[in-house]
Amino acid sequence: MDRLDPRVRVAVVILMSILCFLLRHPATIVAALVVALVLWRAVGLGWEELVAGIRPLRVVFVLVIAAQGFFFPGDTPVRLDLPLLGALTLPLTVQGVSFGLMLCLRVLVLATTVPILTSQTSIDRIVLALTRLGLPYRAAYTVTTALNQIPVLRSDIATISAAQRLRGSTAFDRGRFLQKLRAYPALVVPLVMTSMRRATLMGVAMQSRAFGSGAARTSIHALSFRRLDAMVLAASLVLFGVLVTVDRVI
Amino acid sequence: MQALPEHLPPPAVEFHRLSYRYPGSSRWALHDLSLRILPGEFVAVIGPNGAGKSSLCKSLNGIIPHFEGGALKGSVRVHNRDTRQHEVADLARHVGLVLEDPDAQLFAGTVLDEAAFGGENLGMEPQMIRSSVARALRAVGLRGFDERVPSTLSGGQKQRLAIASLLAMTPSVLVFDEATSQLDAEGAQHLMELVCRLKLRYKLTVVVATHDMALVRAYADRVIALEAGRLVAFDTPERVLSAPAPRFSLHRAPGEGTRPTLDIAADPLIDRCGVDIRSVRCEYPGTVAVDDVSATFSPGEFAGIVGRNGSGKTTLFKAIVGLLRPVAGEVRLAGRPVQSLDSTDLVRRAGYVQQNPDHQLFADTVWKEVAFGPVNLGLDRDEVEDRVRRSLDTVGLRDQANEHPLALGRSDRSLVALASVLALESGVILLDEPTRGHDMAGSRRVMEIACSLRDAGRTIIAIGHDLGLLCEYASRLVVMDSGRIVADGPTGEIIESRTEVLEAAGVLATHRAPSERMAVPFSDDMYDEEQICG
Amino acid sequence: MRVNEARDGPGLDDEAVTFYAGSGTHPAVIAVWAAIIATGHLLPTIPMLGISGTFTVSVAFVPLAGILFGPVGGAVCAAVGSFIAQLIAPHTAWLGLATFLIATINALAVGLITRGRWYVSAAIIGLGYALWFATPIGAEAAVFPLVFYTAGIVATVGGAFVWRLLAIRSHEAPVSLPLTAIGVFFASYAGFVSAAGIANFAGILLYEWPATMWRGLAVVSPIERAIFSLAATLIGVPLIIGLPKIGVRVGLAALTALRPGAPRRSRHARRPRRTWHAHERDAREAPTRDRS
Repeated sequence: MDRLDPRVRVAVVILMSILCFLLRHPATIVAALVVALVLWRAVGLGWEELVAGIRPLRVVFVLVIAAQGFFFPGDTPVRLDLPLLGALTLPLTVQGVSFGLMLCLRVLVLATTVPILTSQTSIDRIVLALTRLGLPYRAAYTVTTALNQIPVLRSDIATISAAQRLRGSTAFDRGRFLQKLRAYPALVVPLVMTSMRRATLMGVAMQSRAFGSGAARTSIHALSFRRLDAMVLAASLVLFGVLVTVDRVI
Repeated sequence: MQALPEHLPPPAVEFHRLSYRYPGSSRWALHDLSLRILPGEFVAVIGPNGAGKSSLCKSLNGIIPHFEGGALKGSVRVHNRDTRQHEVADLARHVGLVLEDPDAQLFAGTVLDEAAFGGENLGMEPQMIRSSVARALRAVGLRGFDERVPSTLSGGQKQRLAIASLLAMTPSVLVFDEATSQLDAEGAQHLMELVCRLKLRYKLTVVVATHDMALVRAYADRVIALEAGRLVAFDTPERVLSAPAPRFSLHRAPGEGTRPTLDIAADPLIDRCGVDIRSVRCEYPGTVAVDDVSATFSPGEFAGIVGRNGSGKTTLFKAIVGLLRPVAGEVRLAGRPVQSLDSTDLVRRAGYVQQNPDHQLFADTVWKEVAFGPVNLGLDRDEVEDRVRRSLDTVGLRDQANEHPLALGRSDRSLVALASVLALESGVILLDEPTRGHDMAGSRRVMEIACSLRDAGRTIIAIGHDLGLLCEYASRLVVMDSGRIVADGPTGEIIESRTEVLEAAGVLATHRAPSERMAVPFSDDMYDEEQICG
Repeated sequence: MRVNEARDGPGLDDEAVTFYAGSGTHPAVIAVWAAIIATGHLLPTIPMLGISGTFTVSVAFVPLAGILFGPVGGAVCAAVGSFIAQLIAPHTAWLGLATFLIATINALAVGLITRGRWYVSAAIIGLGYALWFATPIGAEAAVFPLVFYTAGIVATVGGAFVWRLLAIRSHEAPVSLPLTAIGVFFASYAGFVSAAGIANFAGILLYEWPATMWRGLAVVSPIERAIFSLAATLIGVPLIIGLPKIGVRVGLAALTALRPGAPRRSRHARRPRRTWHAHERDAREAPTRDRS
């Protein structure tokens, strides 16, 4: 999977995302989920990562099921038989809860897309893929440059908040809402100013390396669209079509 | 300008009455510069902050005027190419520029891509780029680093990567704009040795703008001295650095400041505060940063801490001000453990001035900036005004009280940051690399302010990279290596009798003249009298 | 330390040639702002009511991208920034891969308003209306867009008016602080609503939130976005004033460049595309020639 042209990955992930908005029948959604899990393993991601990815979504899932349980049109209320408390009737409908579950599965499939895109492939290849798909390279280098600057910003944030805290600014630890809002500029302005100063230097550095020279830009990486890529792409398209049609038919 | 004697090769760089003014500025950053640099020369550019060193560097590869805009008069020719008529991208194949900030030169996802950045921009063929890059990475000592992420490299490695990415474009001139300022002594030494080797192997012309006189003496064939945008000297290091001409504001005798330093008598208002560090051990995930360190600092003492990057100096400071909780041992300020102090008490005892002033400036006037601390402490209006006035007087910025801090120059911004910590009137002042990025005059001023604070009864502890400067002002020296204190005592004693310890700690690293130099035959014929401004 | 002013000799200015740095913002500046958007979630969060629970400063940086860099630069910046934020924290990508488009639309709308093309921004909100009523749930909860999106239209028009004033007055220094603050507030609010129009439609498609919830949100969402806009104003105004002082010509300073008559391009206009071989040929011939 990692030998695939990243453009194919981008296409597959886009198809998956569109599927999530179109499918409505539980059967097709489960099928899509199975495909997603197959892809998940194919790019080398493990079950622990899956659980870690789902955990932050717990709240959303609960909200969705509850919301659909309450409001989805249906007439069969949910009855639970609990061992000690006896039969308990919740103000939710079975149809609503199952609809909510289906929605959650869709969201789950959607949540797998981004890691599938980025796992085991370097960001440069993705950026190159995007360039070949039409993204201007000036925008493409914005992505890698921004990625490189994130650790720098992280340490800047730590330094700045330490500096301001040592000048007695403790609003972030225990201030009320308005206090926090007023203390924010002391954190944000230095951060932006140092970063922007550095950005002007970066502009100089980029130009000094002939960025924007107008010459046809080359790359040390080669993207080759091989038969395997074509096969995977074709298979994805076929699968997409099948799932959508089956969904409509059922 | 007279023609060069015939035995000399045509100049690599030629300035002809160059004057330059940044857009929106009314003063000339460079004024009527005329000089010639021969191929293969190592030329150093020195001068106080604001003298035009950066502007000179940027005018060598066309950044000035094409990228910066502004008004230009006269010309710069590099290998016979007029920079006014060639785009930056064209000149990039001949001139490489390395900047001061290692973090400002990272654009790609891997070391390999970063080194290939230039070649790709120029449209070189991929095979050619790959071989060029491989050679360049080997030459700078980064072989095998291909897949590393650039942001995880050390400062020195990042600068090497920057050099490699420029080498891959096969330039003939390399320009360094204070490229060693952010490295420690060892890093600077290694980088300059590398530059010298590259110069010999690839027959490069090297231009280095710097504050480091040891570097200049060790490597430079000739030195350009700038002041206020004008050329004041262009000669061998021996002649330039020993000239007693008063216009060189480079070597001022200690005690000669441009501003009156306020004579502060021992101030009874200050709560004297001693620092007591007892067997402190600090850890980060995976490493021990400070290991079993004990030391006591008394009020009225000025102590310097030295050591290479990563030896634990900043970590120790963080433990003193409570930013970091030690896993063992404790720190006491004026007898009370740091961990038990609330933030107001803490701030009253210890103030921390960080390296980079831009990490705390946010207000729109200097006054408000300095007042931020006292206001946070909850003091009343009159007390706040009092403190702000006193702090601004101490650093000598009273006249700039209503200016926007960001519009000031680098040295003044540092003083604003210092003043805003002084306004907290803490007993202990921790200075983290207070002289980095300053020119000689600025560095001395900061040191003198520190001395006057010490005289008033405060405890001053300063982390420094310039051993020579610390020796002049600090009475006590603490040497750290790998998280431990390896020497602690009166400065003179340590310098004289503990040299092996200093050397092991990487603090004595200094630039030494290379054994092999490319012979650039020059003589006094080249020293053109017309080049010096009257 | 003040450096001595260089005294100009007679005629020095007359012979100087003025170069104009290229207009538009360099990708490096946009990249750094995008990184700021992406790391915004590391800054302390501020708890508040509304659908988000707490909010991070990132939401304020997005409309500011539009103000500082214009519609195109701002859109690219917000796209890159929130795309990277998705990579760092995939669970925040509630629309999957397309989540970054929300911030993109936000910055785009803000950029359009501040650069004089507010009607496109209003059209985006109009699209939001249309998409809303196309869904069955939306048709039930008509009060939501009638309150929320209409507030957005008001902010769009108001913001456009204020920014036109600011553009006209931009050559006066110093710029009016209250006017800038109002401009930032309105433009940000309009941006949030434009983005919400599309985001809510996607939310209905994906999550099928019931109409009752939307009716409740008709009160909450406008207030929530107002608070976000307030944050953007508090943070943005000092930056709009301070950035030109360090030489970054964005925001209002960029507006000055758009006034008619201002020179736009570098003195040496864009050269035709050249290959490496042309460079090589040049290098061989260079010692005898001045020009390339």
